[in-house]
Parts: sequence; structure tokens; C-alpha cells
Amino acid sequence: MRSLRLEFAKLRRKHVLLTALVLIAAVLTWMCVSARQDGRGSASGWNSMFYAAPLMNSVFLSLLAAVVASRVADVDHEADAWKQLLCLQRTGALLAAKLVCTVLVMGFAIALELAGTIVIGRVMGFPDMPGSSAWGSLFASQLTASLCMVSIVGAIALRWENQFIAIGSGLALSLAGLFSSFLPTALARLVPSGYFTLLSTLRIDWAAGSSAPVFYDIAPPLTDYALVAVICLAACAFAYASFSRKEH
Amino acid sequence: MDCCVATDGLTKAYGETEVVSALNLMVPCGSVYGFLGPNGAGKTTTMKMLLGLVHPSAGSATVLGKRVSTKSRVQVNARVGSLIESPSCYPHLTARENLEVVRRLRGQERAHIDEALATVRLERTGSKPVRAFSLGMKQRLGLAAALMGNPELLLLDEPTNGLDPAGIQEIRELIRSLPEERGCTVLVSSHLLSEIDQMSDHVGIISHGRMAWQGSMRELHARAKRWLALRTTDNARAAELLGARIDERGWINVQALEDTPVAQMTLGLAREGIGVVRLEERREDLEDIFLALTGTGASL
Repeated sequence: MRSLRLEFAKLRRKHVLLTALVLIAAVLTWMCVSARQDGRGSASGWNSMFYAAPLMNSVFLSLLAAVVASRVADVDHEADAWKQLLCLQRTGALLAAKLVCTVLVMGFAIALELAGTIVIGRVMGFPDMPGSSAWGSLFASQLTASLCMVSIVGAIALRWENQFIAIGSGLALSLAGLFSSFLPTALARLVPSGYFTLLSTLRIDWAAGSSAPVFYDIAPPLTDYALVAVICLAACAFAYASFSRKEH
Repeated sequence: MDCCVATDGLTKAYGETEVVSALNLMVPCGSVYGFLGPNGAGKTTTMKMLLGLVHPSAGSATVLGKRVSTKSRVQVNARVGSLIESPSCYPHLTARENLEVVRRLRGQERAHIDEALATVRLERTGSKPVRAFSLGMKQRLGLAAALMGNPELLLLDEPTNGLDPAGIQEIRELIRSLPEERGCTVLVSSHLLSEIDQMSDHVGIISHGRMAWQGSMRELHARAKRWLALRTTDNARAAELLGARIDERGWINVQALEDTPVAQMTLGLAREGIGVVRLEERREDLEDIFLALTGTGASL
């Protein structure tokens, strides 16, 4: 807990939350435009937003995850603080605090986004608001996908002091996320930012012979959750191993 | 003699190159130990090994009675303050906020921040971020971070780097006073002989990763050769009578003598009609001793 508080203290004046607010505002603006196109009181309004949110998150939250993960690592690169920190903190505890700090920021951003979605849906008068389990599932899927992104970008940001590498990777993954939803599932699983949509439980039946989109729910994709867990563990192990070997 | 830091054959090699070779360092408790050596001699690597930041290739280090290892690092360093290479400062935070980070890391009380800031005279920096600090101010802040909470041992790697002459003098005085005022032991590295001479009571001279000499400053000074240099009205004859040689500057050098033999020598010369115009006692300076020990000069 002390290590976690320390991470937030170090991020003071780094405008991390402001960055999150700006990107979430962008997502919500997009959602707002989308909802207006659906029309006031649209029967599929909530489903449209539940479907659109992961799509946009694969771009915007990927970018946010990259920025936050990079900032959290760079703050100590910039201060040349590793030697001071590692004198008094265990490597594992330090890296875990950084990961938790990043995930908390992402959790805050996702919660804000979902709160904004509720407000938009209410204002637009969409009927039959989804229950708490649907919101919980969406939150969990987006947070898990964010965890995947922060683990990868965080490992890069820790390994290479030049943050252009981390931010560049994040940006590339963010762009890849934009197209991942058009890829077959097997290929989309190779794109970390693709998990924002892969983990979502709402799908569109593109084959349905209807002019309006036909939404349907699937069970939580446990295989994909397991894959994310493997990716995160691999990224964390890489970060720990490369960081432990490094002499400061 | 109790040692706060002791190393046994401490060695660090990068590939085929040994940066530190079989170093046996002994830092007596309560001393200011000057760790002297030229740039690249292995001082910083040794200090990092003492902090557990660099893994030794061979040998071991014991700090404050505990063997340094990856596992014991945090426990040992809780009692150690350090300033290695450049100070660790978050440029977007103020001096106080930077020390707040250290305070949280060490789990200390807030009062230690004010004390540390006052010690290095940074208490009036207010809301100025560290990025606007001069190099000297950053160095002071690094020192303040090292001093937080009165550590039992301080490892300072070239702490006067970047300071102006007044600042250098101030920091030297501070370091010199630490054992008495705070009861802590200081291991301070420098490549400046005069600096170590002014600050330390013990010294270890490292050259090419090896300990060339270590002991008390008094012992080091005692190694200095002493002799008498004189000039007379007839140097050639005086040298012949004394069985001495005349150096290139025209001085006759004879071995150091007690008062009575010196008096007899001058009276003997006078009896031969040779007047003594200059008579000086000379001693080898530290620079010469270091030159002999390391094969380098005073500013190592």
C-alpha cells in the first residue's frame, strides 16, 4: 500500500488523470454522436453503445494505457531514481506497485466512461437499461484488456529508457486495435488491443437478413481471458527478469 | 577495531575486464573514510556493490554487520544513506516533495524532511520545482535525501561535484562533523587528494580496481619522508664535508636529524668557514606518496 501511494505521489503534476479525462471525453463525444444517430428512445440504443464502447476502447484506451504505463515508468527514468528506490524497495514490490497504479488509473477511466455511457443513454431515453451484471461484465472485459496493454507497454517502458519505443509501440497497437475487429478471431487474438472487443460479450449477427443490426450475447469468453492472463504473466516476467538483471 | 563496512575479495568483472579486483575494504565505525582513486578506478562500482545494486562476480561485502545480498539489500539499506553518481531527483516535484518520496520509502516522520532541508540549506526553495535547480542545489538535495532519518552509514560518491567553492567547503565541514554530531560513519569517494585529506581520518586508495593502500590518514602522513635542505656560502665544499649531494635547484639535501646533530652540523660547517644561509626541514607531500602508491598524480 505504501509503495502504491508512493507511485501516485511521484505522478503529481504529470497530468496522468487529465490525459485519462481527455481521452474518455473523446470516447464519450463519439458515443454521443452515435447515440444521436440511433435516435431518441431507440430500442437498440443500449446495445449499440455496448457494442461501440469496446471498439472505440481498442483505439482510445489502448492509447491511454500506453501513455499511462509509459509515464509511470518514465517518472523514475527521468529522475534517475532506480538506484535510490531499489536500495529501499524490493524489485517485485516496486514493479507490482507500478502495475497496480497503472491499472487503477485505467479502472478510473473505464468507470468514468461507463458512467458517461449511462448518462448518454438516460438522456437519449433508451429503454430497458442493462442490469448491473452487464455493466460489470463490460467493465471487467475492458479492464482486463487494459491490463494486457499496460503489461506489454509497461514492460517495454521499463526495459528501454527511451519512451519513444514504449509510446510508439502503444500507438502501433492502438492503430492495430482499430483494424483488429475486422480480422478473423484467431488473428485478432494476436493483437493485444484486439482483446477490448474479443472479451466483450455482445456481438452483431452480420449474417442476419435485417437492415437493423441484430445483437446477441455470448458467454464470457474464458479462453480469451486465459490468453490475456498468459500474455500478462509473460510481460510481467519479462519486465521482472530484464529489470532484475539490469544494474542501476 | 569495529568495521561498519568490510569486504572480502570483492570483485566485479564485466566480461574479461575486472573493474574491481579482490578488494578488501575496512571502514572503521565512526570514521570518515575517504575512498580515493582516479576516474574509472572502480569506486562507484564498489559502492554500488555495497548497496546491493550491482552483483559481485566474486567475494562478499558486509555492511553494518550484515552480509549484502539481493535478499538482505532492503533490510541493510534501511540503515544506510547514499548518494551515488548523480542525485536522484524528480524534476517535476519540489525539494520537499522529493524528500517526501524518500520519507515514505523509509517510513519516517515528517519532521525529518525539515531537518534534512535545513542541514543542506534548501529550506527556502518553496514551490520551485527541482528542474529549475542549479546542479549544486540538486547535489544538496541528493545529500539531504541521503541524510534523511540519521542513517548509521553514509555512502557518498563524489558529493561535492557541481558545488561552488563555498558549497564545497560547507559540505566538507558537514561530512567531517557527521560522526561526532550524528554518530554515523561516512564512506566518501573522491578523485581529489586534497579533498580526502581535508575530510577523512581514514583513507583507502584504489587504483585499477585494486586497493593500493588503506589505513589512517595519520599513517599515510607518517609515510612521508623527511629531510633537511640547506644552502651555504660554499655548497660544493659543504656537500663534500656532509657526504651529501646537491640537487638541481642548488640545495644540499641531508637526512632529517634531531636538534643536537643539526646544531653540530651547522657549527662544523662554520668552523670550516662555510656560512649556512638557508636551512629548511622538508617532507614529502601527499602527492608524492600517492604518486608512489598509484603511479598517478594528486588530482587522480
